[in-house]
Amino acid sequence: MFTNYSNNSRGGKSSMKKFMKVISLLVITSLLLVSVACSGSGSPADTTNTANESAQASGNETASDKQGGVLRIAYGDKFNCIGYPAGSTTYYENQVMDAALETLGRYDESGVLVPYLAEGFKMDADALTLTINLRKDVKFHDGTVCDAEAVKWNFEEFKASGRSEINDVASIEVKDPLTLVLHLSKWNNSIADAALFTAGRIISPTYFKANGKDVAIANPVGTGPFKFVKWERDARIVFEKNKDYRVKGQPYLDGIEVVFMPDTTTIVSAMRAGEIDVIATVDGTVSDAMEVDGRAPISRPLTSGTIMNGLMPTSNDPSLPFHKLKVRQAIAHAIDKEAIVAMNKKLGWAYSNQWTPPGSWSYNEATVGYPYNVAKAKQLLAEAGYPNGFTCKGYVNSGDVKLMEVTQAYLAEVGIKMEIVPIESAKENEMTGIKGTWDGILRWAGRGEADIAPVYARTLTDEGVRCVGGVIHPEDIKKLIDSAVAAKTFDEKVAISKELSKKVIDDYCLLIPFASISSQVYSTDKVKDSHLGYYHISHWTPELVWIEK
Amino acid sequence: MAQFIIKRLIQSVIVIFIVSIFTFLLTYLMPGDPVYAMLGGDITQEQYDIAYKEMGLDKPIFIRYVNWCGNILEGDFGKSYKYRMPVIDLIKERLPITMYFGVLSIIISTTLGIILGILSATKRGKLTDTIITLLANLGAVMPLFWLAVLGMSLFAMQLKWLPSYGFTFPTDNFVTSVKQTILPLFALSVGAIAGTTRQMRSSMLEVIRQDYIRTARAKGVKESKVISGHALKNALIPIVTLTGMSFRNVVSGSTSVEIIFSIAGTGQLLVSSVLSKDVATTQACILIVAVVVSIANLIVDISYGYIDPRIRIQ
Repeated sequence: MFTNYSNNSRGGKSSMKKFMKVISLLVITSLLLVSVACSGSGSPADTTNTANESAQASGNETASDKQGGVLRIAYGDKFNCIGYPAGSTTYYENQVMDAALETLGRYDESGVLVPYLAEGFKMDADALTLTINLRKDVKFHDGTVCDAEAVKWNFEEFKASGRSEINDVASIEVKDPLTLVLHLSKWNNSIADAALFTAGRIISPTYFKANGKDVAIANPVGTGPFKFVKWERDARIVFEKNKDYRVKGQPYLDGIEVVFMPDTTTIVSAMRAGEIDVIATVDGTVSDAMEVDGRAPISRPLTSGTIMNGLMPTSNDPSLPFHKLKVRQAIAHAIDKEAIVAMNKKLGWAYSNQWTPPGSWSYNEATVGYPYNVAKAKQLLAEAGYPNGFTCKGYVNSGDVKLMEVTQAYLAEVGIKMEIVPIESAKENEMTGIKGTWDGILRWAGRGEADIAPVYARTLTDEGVRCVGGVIHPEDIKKLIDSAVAAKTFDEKVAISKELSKKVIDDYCLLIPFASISSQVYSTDKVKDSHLGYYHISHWTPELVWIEK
Repeated sequence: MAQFIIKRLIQSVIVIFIVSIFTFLLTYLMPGDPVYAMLGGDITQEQYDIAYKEMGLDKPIFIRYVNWCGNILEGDFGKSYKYRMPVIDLIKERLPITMYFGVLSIIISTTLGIILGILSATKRGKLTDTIITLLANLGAVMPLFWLAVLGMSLFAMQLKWLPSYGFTFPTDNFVTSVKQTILPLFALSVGAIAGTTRQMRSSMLEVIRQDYIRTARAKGVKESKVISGHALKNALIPIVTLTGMSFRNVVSGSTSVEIIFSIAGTGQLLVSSVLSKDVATTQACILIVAVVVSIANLIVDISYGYIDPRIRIQ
């Protein structure tokens, strides 16, 4: 058999040669294809930056030196809405909108709201009004005029969408084409922030009316420095320079390309290869890699506009141990929150013993909080009737399980056996939505604002919209929230807000704060003046960005 | 043969019908309220009520299923509440991208796999066979995501020859397209080439030991003719099965490759739809995959009959 095969394989050898030739041809063709494709590719990697100042502060360059280039920003999170401000649910959607849509006001270096698209604004507590003055000759990208009627329509649409931020606005009066007056049903000293910033990203009513909400969601048509070109969903969003921008000489860039990169390895690889200029959403892998590369974040710790995170035990269910204040306080004492925060410092975490960023005007230094103290935790548990601890559930978004495991270990030290229940975002939103509740300890992250009263109003009052079904709504807290919102002077507002900050934590322990998280943003040395994560987590300065040649 | 095809067609229709019921029910049984999944948790009661009605959730599930089936028969897969656009438009955007990689990968892996498998079998025990077998085994055990990351690290990060992300159609920009295609295609194809090579080798080894091959050689038929004319066709049956099975990847894509290279294909779409409970998109994606797999299986079964007349007669 073998002899026979061997003899006949002579003919086979010749056919095998043909096969080999075919393979060789294929290999050569592939190599040629690669070499052709690769010719001219490969931009040299730029040098690394070492401090955020170098990326934010420009030197003596003239406007013409700054012109040109396309900024490529990588995000690890998906976008669902980039053109309809009321539909935006994340800070990074707001950041993307900023390229094409402008807010009436935005925050300066010290976190104060200043006019931006608006020329000015004035609050009158006695008259219950907010007057907004607009700039002359501002046009939307579709050529229509941005006047008081357009802004009025934007506010009305924001309210009609079901958003609650400007609910205290009873009516809107257009005094003249450049002036509108918001009449309030009751005094609300946060109304300027809500109207000029949160509800203040202005879109073209004409475009919206002509195309409908679904089209508007995907097509930002505003007055901003860049015009929207296209959105390849889950891939990239392209903007081009608005040559008719209201500020002469701006923007400096030719365009902005927002790239969606779900994998952190790709983000790091693209940054190192010089394929992207900015990383706008950062996790541990990215921050470790940037540290290795010697890059420092261009963002800075913020005193407002951050994300607060921590725990929220169910406090309104008498059948659960957490209904007792001493149990909630025991949990807070049992966890070394400062150690957990220290582990995540490079992700922009800063320890806070209250639900407001450290250094903000509502941060109350007199808040005692719950320093790590196992003995105290055990004592409080015994006093609450649980000397041997108890068993409970700990709900956490499936992306944060590791952090919950650390919490679990701390609680085990005082006899609390917590079963970790990972939940997907959809389930988390259901549990924490207006109709939801939970039965245990919820790991929670929410808005971190200096103006704490509206934030607390969303959770600790019957009129709230987030996590309302799992916490008690104490009457004295409600009164403080109302008083803070209705304060007629800033000093009065500060004093009441500080009292509120302390009361929620020290008297009720409704939340167990861990950290205030400022966004971490990394960029190449060439990118200047982006101010991403510099003033507020939700806005930056696309009109000022330039790329060093 | 016609009877066989009709029988298989009826079976496929039943399978698709059962899949449609499971798909429809499963998406509603997944944890999480679809309204919160769509709008996030930061919504008022008013916003919730508006969306609840818009999504048709106020109707009984049976009515929703009947409506859904009726709409699909008219080519309407519903509206994605995550992407705020008709699902059919979303699939029209994503499917060509996934199919581009899927079809190229099948062509490359099947062609190379068959060639290398034949080479390896006919050179059994020799250096060529050893090298091919070794490489095939290596290719088969290397995880796809690892290959992708390795390729990216070497060719994008170190050598800067190829981009690490993105997708462009050749018709839009040929050079960019080729650059962006190489790494994902490499990651997608290595495992498939290895699998096809191994299968082809073993199948070919079995066939060339058969009496009819020995007879052909004894009659003095050229070895190339023996392989291509007599052995190849019979050795191809397992490859047809293998290729048929891989057709599902042509429409469902490889999620890991799409995620790593930031390619907006259907694999990524399906995973993100499931995670965000985008009901209409999830249902449409699963149904389309089921239909394509059923059609592919049907074609494979018909091919068996063409390749091997014995199956046709049976």
